[in-house]
Amino acid sequence: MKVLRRVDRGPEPLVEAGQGRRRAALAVTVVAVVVGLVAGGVAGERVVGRRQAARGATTGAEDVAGAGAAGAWAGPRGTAGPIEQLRGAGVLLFTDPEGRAHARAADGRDHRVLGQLGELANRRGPSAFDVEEAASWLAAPPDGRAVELGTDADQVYLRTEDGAAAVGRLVDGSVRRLTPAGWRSPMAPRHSADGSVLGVCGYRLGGEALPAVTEATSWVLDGSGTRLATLPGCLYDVAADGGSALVADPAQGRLAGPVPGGQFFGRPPMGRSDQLTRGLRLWRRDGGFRPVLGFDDVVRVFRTVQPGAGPSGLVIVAAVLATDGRQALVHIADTMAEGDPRTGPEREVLALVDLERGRAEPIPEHLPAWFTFLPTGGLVWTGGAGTATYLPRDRPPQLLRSGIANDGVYAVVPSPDGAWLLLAGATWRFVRADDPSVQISYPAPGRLATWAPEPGR
Amino acid sequence: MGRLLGDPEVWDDSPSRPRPALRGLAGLAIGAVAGLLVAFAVVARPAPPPPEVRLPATAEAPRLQVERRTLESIGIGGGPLLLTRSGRLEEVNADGTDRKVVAQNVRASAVVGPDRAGVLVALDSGLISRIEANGTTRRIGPASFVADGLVGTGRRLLACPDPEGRAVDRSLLLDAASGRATPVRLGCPVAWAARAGVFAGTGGPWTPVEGFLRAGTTPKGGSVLLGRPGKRPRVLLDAKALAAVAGKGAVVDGLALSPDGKLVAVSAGRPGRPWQVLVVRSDGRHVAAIPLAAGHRPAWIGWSDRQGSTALAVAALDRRGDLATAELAARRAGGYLLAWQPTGGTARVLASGVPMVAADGFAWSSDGDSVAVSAPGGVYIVKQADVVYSTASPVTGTLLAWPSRGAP
Repeated sequence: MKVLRRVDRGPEPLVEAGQGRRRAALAVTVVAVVVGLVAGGVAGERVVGRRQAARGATTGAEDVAGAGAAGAWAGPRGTAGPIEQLRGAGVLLFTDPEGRAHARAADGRDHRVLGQLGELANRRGPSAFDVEEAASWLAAPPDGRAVELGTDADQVYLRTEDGAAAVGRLVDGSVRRLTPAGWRSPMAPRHSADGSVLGVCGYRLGGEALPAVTEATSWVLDGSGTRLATLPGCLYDVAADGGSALVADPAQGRLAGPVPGGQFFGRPPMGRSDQLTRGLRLWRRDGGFRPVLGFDDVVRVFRTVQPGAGPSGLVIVAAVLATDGRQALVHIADTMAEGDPRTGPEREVLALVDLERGRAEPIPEHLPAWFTFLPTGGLVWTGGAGTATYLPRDRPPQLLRSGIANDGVYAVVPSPDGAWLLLAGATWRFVRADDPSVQISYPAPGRLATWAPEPGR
Repeated sequence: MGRLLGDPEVWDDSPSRPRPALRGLAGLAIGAVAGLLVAFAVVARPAPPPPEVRLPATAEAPRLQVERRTLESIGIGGGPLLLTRSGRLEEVNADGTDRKVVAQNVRASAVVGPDRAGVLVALDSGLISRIEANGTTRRIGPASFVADGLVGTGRRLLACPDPEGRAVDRSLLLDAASGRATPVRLGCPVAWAARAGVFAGTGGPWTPVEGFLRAGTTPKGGSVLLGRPGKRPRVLLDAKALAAVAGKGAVVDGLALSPDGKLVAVSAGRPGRPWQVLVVRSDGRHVAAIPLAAGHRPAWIGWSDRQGSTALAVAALDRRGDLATAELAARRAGGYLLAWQPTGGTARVLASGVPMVAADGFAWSSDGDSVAVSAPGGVYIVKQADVVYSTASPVTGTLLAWPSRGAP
């Protein structure tokens, strides 16, 4: 059996035996820990970096589907379709319920927050219920976008909660009202492509027994807010180059007479008004006006879808100019139509107006809703049967999609080059204009405001 | 005396051996693990390298899905669609089921029937053929007669002549069973009231008109006649009255009689000028004029046969420029389908745009509830009561009729 001795304690030696070895061991341990820390840190950093690269994430908290096995961008989470075809298609500007404005490439990359504006918070799409019923016959926006952003990603065109057309700036959070005190506006300001010319429609309600539009006036302003013109009647659109604007033609209003008021089935009563729009003219910045749509044409076009319609209730409620300023899409409605709009008589029609020749032709569609021109000259519109139709220039119409009512589509917006159309709703669906079978979709990251060109293009 | 387990046998208070190598390795491992954890926690996530995008040579085209969700909810008229396809006469349900070949080697452009026995009469390349339920065919009518239009109900038929090289107003009233023919002085187009035994046809003056055929002219009449079998037709709308409503030089290009025979729809106009559909009562009184969009011409007009109410469908197709003389199925342009109600004179757009591109056939369902338009891509069906319930049917072929099963 091995016996271990208990060492008798003697006086402490001045230098303990083996102390050098112990100090060396301590130093070695400390050095080893430090080296290990460094080595582990380096290894960890590399591991983290490699994982990130493999995932292909760019936007931190953004929802991204990431890159595929081959390293190709797969788009935001939930993307369906060949997302890579949207590369370079422009930048989508949108807002969120907190009032922030965002920018993101059409293919879902390069997300950034542009700024915040209190007026943008909790914005809903424009609705007939936002404006008084009587004013909804004066003007309505051509789509359901709540706000529009300028291509500079700074200016915000909106209608304030109290009904004033206004321009906000993201850079300093300012909001400038464009309508005088006491006036309301049925829609956000219209503007030229660069925002240097603004057009605002304003109205005042009155009426003895029933509410009616008693005054309608428009203002054309430059980018600094200086008034260029004050016009009678409502303004509907400003040309892309800012050189002209589509406004009501008071002469046609006098020709047609006042719109009768009354109580109509399924909607609030409306008073008699001589301010609603019966015809259109083109205001030119270099001076003068040119009539482009007379009331006779309004009646003629409407009667192709409603042969027995009386003229007294026919009004123009929306109009947009083509990019080249040669055509306009005009939305005509019958204020006196009754019955269920889905199953009853036709009460609205779109008209394509050739501004050079002053000739209008109908675009028959049941319950037309949103419409716009493409920069390439085609036009697109949605209808009550849940379809979105694209009519290219000199080619037959094409179905972009059916069943859009289920998608909650509130706007159809072309890409800056006109190669794509975006059906904006709960899902953003991009449809290639030259081949509508090519479609790309992903969940909407917010409410669409503008499809702007890529910076530098 | 026993020992407790683990009881040390001896105590040794001497300090342990330093073992620097062992401690160094352990320290290295601990340091490495700690460093790794710290790195995971604090190292900033780097931006990924720009992905390499490879555009596909051809678009990966997800095909546009046709909405078929409401096909089942559409009242499908209780009967199958009658279509001509690949030289066969076929019947098939609107949902694409129960496809059946009615007759082989028949290129029908119009049909009457079938009756309760399943017999129908078809216009095939100018010849009128009776098609039995078993598919056998028998030609009826004079051998020299070449027809351009065929209408009727049950045994009674009215065939109007192909005008090429023949008298334009020598139509025949035919008995579908016996084939016996009686001449009647009117020309194409013709119409028949389903429940009233009344027919309508076109009368003179006959003028050759350009713009219907690619080469040459087509004789077109300038008045409308109304008659009953066994009686001489009377003028319902003379050339002067037609010109007054539809413009000077207007000709008749289509006719439709309401099922009760009380209303006549006339598509009138001239190529290159505005077209309209006139609605006239059988006593000659003008009821309505339905103007068409500029450059559009009616391809079909037809009354629904709905108990208690009827509606007139006007299928207007874009006929501008070269489209004027294009074959229907080859025409690549839009159009629209309007339903007009005689009660109240109101109208509604049932279909427009894409469903009308290359539209080559049209029919009301036998119950008057739905209307169908065929094109090479398929058949588009709209429920009249609510145009939101429209759908594409998985049926191909040129639509001729949509009768009830065992129609009388």
